[in-house]
Amino acid sequence: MPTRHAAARTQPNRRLIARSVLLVLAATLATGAMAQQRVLRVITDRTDQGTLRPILEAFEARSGAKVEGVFMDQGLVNRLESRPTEADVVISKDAELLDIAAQRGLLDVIGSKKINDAVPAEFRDAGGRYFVDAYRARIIFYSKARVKAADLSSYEDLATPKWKGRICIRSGSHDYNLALFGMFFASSGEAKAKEVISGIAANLARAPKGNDREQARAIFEGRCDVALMNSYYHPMMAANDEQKAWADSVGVYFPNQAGKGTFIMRSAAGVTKNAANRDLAIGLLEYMASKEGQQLMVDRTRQWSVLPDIKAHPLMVKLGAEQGLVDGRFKIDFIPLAQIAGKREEVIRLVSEIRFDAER
Amino acid sequence: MKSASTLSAETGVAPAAPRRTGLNAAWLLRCTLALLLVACALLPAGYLLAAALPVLFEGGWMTHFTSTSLPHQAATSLQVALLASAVALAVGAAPALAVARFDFRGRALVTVLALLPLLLPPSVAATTWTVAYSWSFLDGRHALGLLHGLACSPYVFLVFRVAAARIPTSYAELAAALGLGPWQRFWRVHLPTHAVPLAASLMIVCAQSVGDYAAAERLGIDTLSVGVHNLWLASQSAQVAAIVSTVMTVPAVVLVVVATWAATSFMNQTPIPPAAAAARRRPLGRAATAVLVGWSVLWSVASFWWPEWLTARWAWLKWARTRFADIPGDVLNAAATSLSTALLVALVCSATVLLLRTGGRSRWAERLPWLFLSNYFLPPLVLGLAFVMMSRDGSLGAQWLGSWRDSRLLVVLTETLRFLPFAMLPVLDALRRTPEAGIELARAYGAGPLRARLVAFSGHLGPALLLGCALVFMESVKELDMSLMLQPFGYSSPALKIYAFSRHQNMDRAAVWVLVSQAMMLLPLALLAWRLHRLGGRTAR
Repeated sequence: MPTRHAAARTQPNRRLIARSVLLVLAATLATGAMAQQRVLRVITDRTDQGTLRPILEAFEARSGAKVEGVFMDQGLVNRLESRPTEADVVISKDAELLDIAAQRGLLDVIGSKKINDAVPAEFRDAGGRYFVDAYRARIIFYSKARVKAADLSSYEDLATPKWKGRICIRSGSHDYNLALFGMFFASSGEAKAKEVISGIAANLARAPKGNDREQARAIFEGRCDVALMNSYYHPMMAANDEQKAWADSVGVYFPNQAGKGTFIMRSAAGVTKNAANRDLAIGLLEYMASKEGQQLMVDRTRQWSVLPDIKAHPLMVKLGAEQGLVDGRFKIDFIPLAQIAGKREEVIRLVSEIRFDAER
Repeated sequence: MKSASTLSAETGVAPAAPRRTGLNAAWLLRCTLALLLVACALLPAGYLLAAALPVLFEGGWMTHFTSTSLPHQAATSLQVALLASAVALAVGAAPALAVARFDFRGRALVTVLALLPLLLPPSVAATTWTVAYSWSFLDGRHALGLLHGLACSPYVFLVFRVAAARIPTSYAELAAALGLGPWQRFWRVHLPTHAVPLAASLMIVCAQSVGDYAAAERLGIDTLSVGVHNLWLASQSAQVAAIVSTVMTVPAVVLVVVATWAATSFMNQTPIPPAAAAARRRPLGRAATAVLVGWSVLWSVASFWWPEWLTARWAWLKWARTRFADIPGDVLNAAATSLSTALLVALVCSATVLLLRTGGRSRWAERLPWLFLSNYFLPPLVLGLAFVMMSRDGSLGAQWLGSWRDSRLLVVLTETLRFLPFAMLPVLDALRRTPEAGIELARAYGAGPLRARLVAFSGHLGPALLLGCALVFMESVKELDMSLMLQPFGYSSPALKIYAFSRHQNMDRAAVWVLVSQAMMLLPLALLAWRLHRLGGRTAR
């Protein structure tokens, strides 16, 4: 028979056990409730803390579904090719990769009337397997102190000797530059493209390194005078206390406006061939193509919307105005993605052959 | 022929039982286990080679690569590796030998300072330096070599500290008494007796600096690893990846085979006695102490304190923008992955111990675990790629794994294969020093075969395994490339957060996550420091 002390000891223990059981039950119930919540799986080469997160969070709030992502930055098509069944939606910062994925049979036809009605045909895959959700321009950033805008004209001009030792750029093997160089191949032919890419390589001030913002910083620090970067980095740097001085020191120039137009980097989205949650996947894509989604994209990412009636971000309008562009609209060299993707292998071989990324 | 260490280990104990021959259950079990270990160790490299060989010259990728950028990139990697080795030896080996050989005020401080760079992955250090400063020096391969040298210096310190505790000073004293000058003593005594730690250190530094992608890419240095990754990532083709990664896979396997042979044939025959012969430490003069402590402080400022100060400052500045709600989930994720990795490593090491028995009696059995080093020599992204390919839909791997493929299991498996040498090599070393008579004695007292081994091994192997697993845990917390490739849906960790922010030049917002990951590594770091402090017993005073 237990003593009074022992009984006093066991009472709290029982309470503790009872509370623990209740806690475990509550946790189990909560897990059960969570299990009922539908989960949409998104694979993307964007990073977790980048510009995609606000879009996904808005969709979660709207649909009640949970979005689980794999944010892998690199090797997107490789993983998709190895595991075509694991994701419902694929989103890429470089639409060319989605074209490669589509060519390899990894994407399903979206077949959404809402998207087909909203997004202009030039921003949709001819086979209906992906669509471009936004775009930004790959433009020339230049030192306000050392370069006059009048000195700039085109991408091809950057290959001329007057820019010797004055250009900064990120790795030639990065998706952004592969796409740009692919455009040279597709737009100007192989011989001219090789001449331009080799010329730019010969004019580099230093070995390609860092990300796009790193190039603006190099201009600010006087290491080089011009750089090839994506347009949205200017307002993003301007909004960052540490990087504002970099943004203030550079101007932006939309090249080839007197010629074929400026090259655009397109981001895109599609549904995987074996999407388990196809309805949710289409729901996310439709949200991305809706006015609300597109406005969010413009506001948060400073890209241009693919919907004609969504205006460019005021900061982009302001940037373009310096060059005389109206409403932030500029002439685009619109090369179909399939043509650029078709030149990718040639570009890779050329970049490696001329040792674009070598130390200088 | 038995190794010298085996002979000395057996001195003073009952003679080993005669070797049993013929087929029996234990022999079969050991053979099966050995084959399993070899299969696991060589699986990724073997798979990549098998995928590449049938198409090695298709598409002209190999010819193109070897005739254009490969020679230059290989030369750059070699230079970086050589510089990193020199730095790591100067920063890691010199203090380790001093701590092992001498008594001085500040021995514990020197040990802790030497271990601190373990908290900072080279890619984070590279980003921190380049974001904070824009010195031209940071554009060159010398910066990359220095960075890798500093990042590897704790491993070199550990290797030399453990080894030096067992290398007696009597040889050098004898040589001096026989009239050999300092250089002659260096070449004829010190270098041969330190050959094993030297070789192990060089292998670690070379593997790290040649296989690294993130830091080299950050600094813009066109190394071999960057070349392989660029071709792979640009082509978005697993086939091209397999083809070009053979330029790293083949040398890695060849190097490991040579290292295995050297470690178990040549190096084992050097007359190194077991721990009991550890030398007494001599007192170190004040001036020499000041130089040594100053040397350690100087390098720790460059390798840890300065980047740490920048990180802490950024974290403070961006405190308000930190999403603290994400921290517990990420920490739990990373802790679960790292603990699982460390436990799996411990399990494989234990299986190896059963396989090897003691005293290096079976040279082949002793060599097999070294093959795990081949995974350490493969760049982590290539290792991750091998697992992505092996677990593709419809493959045997995917069938075996089932729904586990969509969990953290693949991350744990790849990390285990890559970091296993950190625990396996100390365990092998300890195993060689464990007299087999201990097992037989325990059996004689009625212990079962497993219990007998546990009793006999625990003294030597336990600390070695603990030390190894602490290192594995820390490496796993810092690991990025393989998590990036193999992460399951909804997975997040401090390392992935650091990467996500730093890719956008927001190292200030990554700073809190750097501190969080460092906090996770403090306990194993303290464990390492404590083990090293206890190594070699009390001071001689």
